[in-house]
Amino acid sequence: MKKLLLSFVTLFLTFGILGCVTVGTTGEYVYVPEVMLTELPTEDVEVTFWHIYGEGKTAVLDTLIAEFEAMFPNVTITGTSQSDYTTLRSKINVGVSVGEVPTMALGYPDHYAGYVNAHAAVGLDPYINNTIEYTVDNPLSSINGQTITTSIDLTDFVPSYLAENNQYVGGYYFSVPFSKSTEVMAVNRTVLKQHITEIRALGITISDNGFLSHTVPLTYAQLEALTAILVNTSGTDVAAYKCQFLMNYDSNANLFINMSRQWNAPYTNSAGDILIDNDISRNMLKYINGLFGTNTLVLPTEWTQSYGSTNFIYGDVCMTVGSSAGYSYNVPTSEYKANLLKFGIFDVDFVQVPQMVLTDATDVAVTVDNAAVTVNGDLSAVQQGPNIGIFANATRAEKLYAWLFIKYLIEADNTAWWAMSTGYLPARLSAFTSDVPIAMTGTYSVTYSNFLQIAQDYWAADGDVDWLTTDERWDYLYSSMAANIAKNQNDFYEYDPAFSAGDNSAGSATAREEAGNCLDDIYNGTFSPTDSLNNMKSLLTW
Amino acid sequence: MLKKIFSAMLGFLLVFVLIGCQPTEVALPDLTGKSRAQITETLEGLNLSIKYYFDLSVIYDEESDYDKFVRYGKDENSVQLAVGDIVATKTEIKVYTTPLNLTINYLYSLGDALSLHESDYTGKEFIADGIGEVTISKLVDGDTTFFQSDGQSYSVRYLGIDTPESTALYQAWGKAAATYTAEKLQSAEKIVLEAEGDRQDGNDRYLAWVWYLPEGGDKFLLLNLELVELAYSKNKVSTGSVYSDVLTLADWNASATKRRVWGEIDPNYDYSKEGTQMTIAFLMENFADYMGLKVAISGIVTAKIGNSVYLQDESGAGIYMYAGYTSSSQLQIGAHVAIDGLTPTVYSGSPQLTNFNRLNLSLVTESLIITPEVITYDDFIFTNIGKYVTMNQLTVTGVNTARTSIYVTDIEDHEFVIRIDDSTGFDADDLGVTVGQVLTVTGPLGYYDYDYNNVFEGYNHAPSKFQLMLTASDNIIIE
Repeated sequence: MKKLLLSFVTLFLTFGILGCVTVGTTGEYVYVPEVMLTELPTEDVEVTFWHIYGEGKTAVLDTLIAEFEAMFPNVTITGTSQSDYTTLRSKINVGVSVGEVPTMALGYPDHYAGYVNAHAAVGLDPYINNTIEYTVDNPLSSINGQTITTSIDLTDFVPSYLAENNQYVGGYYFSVPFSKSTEVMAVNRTVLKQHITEIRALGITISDNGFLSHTVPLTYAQLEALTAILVNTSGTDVAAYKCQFLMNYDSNANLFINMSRQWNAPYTNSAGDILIDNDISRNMLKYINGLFGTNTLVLPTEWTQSYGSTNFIYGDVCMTVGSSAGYSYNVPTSEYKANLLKFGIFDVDFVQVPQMVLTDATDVAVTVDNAAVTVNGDLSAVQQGPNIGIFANATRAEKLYAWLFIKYLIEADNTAWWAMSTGYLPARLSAFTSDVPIAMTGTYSVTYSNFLQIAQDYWAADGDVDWLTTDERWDYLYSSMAANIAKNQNDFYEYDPAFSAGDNSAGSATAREEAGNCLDDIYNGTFSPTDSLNNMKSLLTW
Repeated sequence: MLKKIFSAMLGFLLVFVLIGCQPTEVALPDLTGKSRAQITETLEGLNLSIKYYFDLSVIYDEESDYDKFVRYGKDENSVQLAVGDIVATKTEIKVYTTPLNLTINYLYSLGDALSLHESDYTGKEFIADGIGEVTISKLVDGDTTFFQSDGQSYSVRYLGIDTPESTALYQAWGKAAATYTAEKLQSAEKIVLEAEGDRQDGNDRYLAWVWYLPEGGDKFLLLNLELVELAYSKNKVSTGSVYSDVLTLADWNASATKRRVWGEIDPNYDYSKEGTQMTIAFLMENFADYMGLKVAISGIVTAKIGNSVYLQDESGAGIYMYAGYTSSSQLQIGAHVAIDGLTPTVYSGSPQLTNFNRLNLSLVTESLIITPEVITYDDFIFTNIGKYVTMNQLTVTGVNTARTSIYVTDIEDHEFVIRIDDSTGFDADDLGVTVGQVLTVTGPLGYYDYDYNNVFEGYNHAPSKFQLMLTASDNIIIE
């Protein structure tokens, strides 16, 4: 009641402050391509860029901004961190209605679906396909006299990244990939190493030093078998090297959606239909509930946390699935209180997210409610992370320079540097094979392929490398691991279709949120799997 | 009839003359001292449209400095416009102003929808019940405080906000936020904490909305919201929180002003990248002058505590550099390193360097050996904190419950602590330390004063609060 009253009063007061709010343009979208300027504008231009990066990533971004501004001295890129995506999206939504939006911003596909629907986002195809050559004529420019274009080679992008960005209207691009990530699984190698014989007896490949395969994922059937070896349900048993839970899954929404893909359970479609009311989804949720019951699977809500990384480090759970960009949160260090680290500062390895099957369109038998159920499974790993786009309110000059800045951000070497510096993944295929060394510190430069080689060499040596303690490869080992795993999964990246709310159903962002709530309700015992799914449907359709 | 036609024609003629006499050009007026509202009224009255920008290049000292005209921008031909320049009507003029005034829109305005009543917390305790009155135990920074209730002290992280850092890291507006929070809490008649959602974060800190009753006030105020409204923090509220909407809107309003965390220069923050080059000895002798600024130093790693290190220069002066979660393979014992962009701060009274970034580190040489200096209790002075030392003839008088602090006296019965950091992985029992033993210990000289409020209070550090840091098990000799 307090929340309702507070929201009502807040909004009332806000409208009083904003005055009459003009709702963004609605109605059927009519694509009107941008008309390209024929010359580079010479007037001073400010491009405002809204993102959500903290100080570390902002520092990397600032370097790229400084380089771009040196190329175009008449342009000022003003970056503002909005702290989180929810705030970013809220502000842009409000800004659209009052004509105050940034020139460009990060956004998830769900966000851009809404911006496109509100006629606020700029179609980027004219820039992508523009053949005009612009000559930089500014003695202060670091590229004075050079000829540039706005076009980009779409064939050089990870295909699934591109597909996510032109799914809105008419196949046009309204955003391009930037900070991409996926999910990877961190494993407690110290624990695994104590159970080599038992794990091999299950037919699972594991090295003498406890490294699982980095190219073949574990299956859920294997996870169920590993539970008997690695889990003590009454509590972590340090002496026996057993955790209380086997695998944490950070994002309950990703778990629902990714499992749906692995089970070929209908979820949503690009038309905005909510398709969850089906027997496959019901069986999937019952199966997941079964995994909860055996401590094979746990959600962060078990510890009243938003993420399971801390409890993974504490030794409460042996494995954890989370964002590849957040790999460092799963590495125990002496910053944590020693008395909380049940296994001390243990060895961590990264592997692919578990799958129902190892080959697409394969049948696998599972047990649901003590009955055998056959699942026709596919491989799937989440493709996530924001893209970047431009807003229609900007002037033509602002849009052009915003696009040139975006193009600079996603150049092969820059996307590689951004990836190595932040934990995100390169958006360009050529970044993986570029032979241009990128300076990471004053004394260490590396190409992206050599960066990937760090983990590959470590794994090949079964962790027994002869690197000096001062070798800077140690500083990039875990980020290299996560990046390798992400690359190994990219053949089966999947993404949610993005759509706005319709007349009878919620939008994709709400569907995702309720998918997570559905699993939380099952985990907490609020609803049975069937009732939770029914509840989810009732919240998403009307 | 003719008269009517003639009158109409005269009227039309008058209208055309008037329209024809509308100016097609105007001179840009002097807008000095005018607010955006006044600027808009003036320029629109001249049939000009305005695009506003902020001038964030200047430090503003007074509230009266905000929301004021600074200058005109450039026209479409990149020609700088100035007062008096002639421009065509109906053109868009770029206008730069200062950041805007902050206004409190929600803190006092939402009545019962945003309020705390005595009945909400009376008879309740925060840890047990999720709400309760507390007192301050120790101030930390803008969004973290140690409070106490029911006989226990605990760290509390404020919900929904994230003020810039001012302890382990040093960020623009961090100190200002910490000062504002301290002032509000210290002058409050009552403080009540309210839990919502997760009770603790991953660092074992309790999470809370912080209500305070101002001195002489009759209504509790929500400090978390106040910090957002006054741009000491951006909004970090979780979706689904009862305060989600009001914090989001407060954030929206504050961000539009470009004040404080939204882009305004912090007059008390050093924005330089590298910092001033100096020796560690010079820094320790002039620490107060460089608090919060950027420095560049070089030194030899004498000890490691997790990712953090003690550095010592050729003169023998040392200092602790906090690295937090940032590791560097270059920071090995004996390595001679040069590091830019560090910020001197104090933490619990101990001087330290923060804001370590691997990008700012250069390895000068590897594998140098530092010989510890033999000292006594009389050498427990500020400028020796961080130095690598040896102390002899230390008699063990006790060990704390956690087995990480060894209480000792020297030959003149001075009492102090040998501190074993968590990161070492060993404790007093592992070392076989018992009461009555005589020790020789080598390690960096540290300092710890729980009551120190992270504001530099001078160089007269109490000798009894000095600690000898034991960072390696072979640095202790039991005689």
